[in-house]
Amino acid sequence: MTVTHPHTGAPVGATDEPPKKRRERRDGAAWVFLSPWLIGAALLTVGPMVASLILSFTDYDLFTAPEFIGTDNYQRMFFEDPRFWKSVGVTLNYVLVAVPLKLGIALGIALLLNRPRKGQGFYRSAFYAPSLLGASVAVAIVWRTLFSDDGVVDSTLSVFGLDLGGWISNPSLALYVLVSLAVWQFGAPMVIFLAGLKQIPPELYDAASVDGAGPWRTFWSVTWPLLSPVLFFNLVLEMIGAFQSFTSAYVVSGGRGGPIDSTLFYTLYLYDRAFTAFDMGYASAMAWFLLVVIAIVTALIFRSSRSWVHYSGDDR
Amino acid sequence: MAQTSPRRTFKAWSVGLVALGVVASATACAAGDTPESGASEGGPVTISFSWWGNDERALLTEEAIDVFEEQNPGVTVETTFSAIDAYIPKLATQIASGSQPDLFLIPMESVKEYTEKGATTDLTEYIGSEISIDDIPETNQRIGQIDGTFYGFTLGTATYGWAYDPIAFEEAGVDAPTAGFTWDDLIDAGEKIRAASGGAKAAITDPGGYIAHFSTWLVQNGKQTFTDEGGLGFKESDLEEWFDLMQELRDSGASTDPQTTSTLDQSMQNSGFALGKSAGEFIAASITGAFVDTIGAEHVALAPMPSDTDTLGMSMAGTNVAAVSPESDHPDVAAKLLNFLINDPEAAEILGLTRGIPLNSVNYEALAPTLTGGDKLVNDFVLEYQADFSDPSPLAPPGVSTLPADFTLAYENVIFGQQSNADAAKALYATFEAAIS
Repeated sequence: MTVTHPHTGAPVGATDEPPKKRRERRDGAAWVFLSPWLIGAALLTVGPMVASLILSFTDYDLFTAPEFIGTDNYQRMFFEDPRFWKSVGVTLNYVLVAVPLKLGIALGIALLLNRPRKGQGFYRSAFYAPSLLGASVAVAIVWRTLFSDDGVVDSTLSVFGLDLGGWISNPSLALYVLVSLAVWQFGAPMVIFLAGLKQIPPELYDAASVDGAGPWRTFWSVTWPLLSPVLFFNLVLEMIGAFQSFTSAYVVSGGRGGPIDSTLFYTLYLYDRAFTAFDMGYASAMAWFLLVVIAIVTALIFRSSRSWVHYSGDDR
Repeated sequence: MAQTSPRRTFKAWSVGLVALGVVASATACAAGDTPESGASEGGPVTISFSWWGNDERALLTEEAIDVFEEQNPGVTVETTFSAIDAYIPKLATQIASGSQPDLFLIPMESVKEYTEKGATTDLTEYIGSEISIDDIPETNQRIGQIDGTFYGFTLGTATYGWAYDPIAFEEAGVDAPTAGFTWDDLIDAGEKIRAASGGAKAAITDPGGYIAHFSTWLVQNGKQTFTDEGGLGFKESDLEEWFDLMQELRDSGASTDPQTTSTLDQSMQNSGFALGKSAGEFIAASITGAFVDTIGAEHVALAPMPSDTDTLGMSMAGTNVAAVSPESDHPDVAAKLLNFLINDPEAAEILGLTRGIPLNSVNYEALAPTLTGGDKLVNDFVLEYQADFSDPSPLAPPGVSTLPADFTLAYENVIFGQQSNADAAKALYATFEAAIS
């Protein structure tokens, strides 16, 4: 009995040609089916990315041909543009406040909803609903109205004696309007946390309680390690999304990133340079810098994950 | 068993190719669905027209366009409008992508810039045929011209003025402003109005962040923003003086406080005067009618802006320039609509003074005696102070479209104490110089 190749059924030891040809024919059909997506990826994603990289070394205002100027855009960006660094600061501030807050609340609520209780299904849907609406224009307009002078938030806080005035016109508070809008959408990570929590074997909790562990200890020794892959996933996704946040800032600030640039997100400044000042080369440089920064931050989180993310089945 | 027969492979390939073909034709279908107007051989024609303004102006414009559509059967005009602050970045984006409407309005500071970028059409071939200039005085013709060539026409001329609430002034015991009212008089008025309203109302909405009001002040002091040659007509010290003057207004309470000011803009719903936060506002006189509609005729009166010199600083300027897109499929129809808006007597009657004084002198003379309400207010104001008007300023050079926003941002830095008047003036002046270089 000859040994046959598991895939093609041809006897092992036969020439390589027939198996390869058949695999190629099968692969050929796969390529054809993949081609719409591949063409899209090439023409709509990779192609423009490469074009943007090239444009970042030019002076281009969309109406006249691009003029090669070397690294001038990058030089102006890093050394001569205070608004650029302001937008970096504002965006970092936003990411460092909104993302942990959002994930923290999502985790907290998920832990609460993990126990069977009345109305659980309703609460889950209610908390998830804002994520569905997302940071759409309509929601941002509502948020802007809520936090305006004599808006709902101002009136409510005044009742408690906190006369802060409209948040959107206050340079120190305007950013927190956007933070609150982001945090309000904690439903999506919460649902994912819930799924992760449900996967933790209940025997571990039983073992912990038998050993006399209190709720805090149980959380740190059982829940947190087993939830860490989910947390890692949520962290990376939310962080990338936060860096790219645009719509909420644009609508709440009326497109200007005001007052005095306190809500000038990086993407908002990029848009302003591209479409109001017609400085496309500069905007392309900004876009690539953002890509590099997000890539570095993501790589750092991945790196750090070795120390705090525990995958089941590992020895750690 | 995993052996593939030739037949199965052939089937897989053919299904794959069919799938590819379906996707390709689907995308082609979607692309072809853009609103293409009918064949140019005289079938139904659709053109697009966009403008800025508030709801009242939109209603009047739509009414006038209905008349145009009646006069030109087969022509449909698709319209869009928005408030000026939203209109400007939207127009910039449309021009960047070559998708501006067939007929569209350009804010005065961007006319030269957009024409240089090729976003407008040379209208010479339509003058005398689709567009008549017989009844348009020379000064009005020149507003849409660059180096003598017609690139557009303004839909009305207006001057900047001071809309104020005569009742609030009376209640505070302040004389109604007229020519000769100085900035110090405004500070006095501010104190009285604050007192009369328990500190709630300012005399005027803070004008410091608007380049247009700075320009008026420059003309009052014998200077101008831009020279005919495209250079700057003022110095850094002038900017600092303006910021100092505005600080006096703020410190005395004559103008709105910083927190309030940063929520206000040039739309009617965010206007300090309309919201009752101030007893007046510097405005382009063409929107007086909108204020009358919003807060009532008894609360609106017009006066020249305060001045410390003999010059009032007012002039009849274009309020916009209506231009035809070079990408238009029907530039002749767009030109016809433009002609309708500036020359047709019925349109003039419907539109009144919503965008300023009509260009066509025949229409204006027929219209003037019939004006009521806000329009009459504006017309009387213009007639009263006409003799003291300055010559209209030259068109702004290219590259200055972003300056109004930069000016407002610099002023915000000042009012929130982030920068001193001197530093802000220095930085802003540098921005001006960079823009026109």
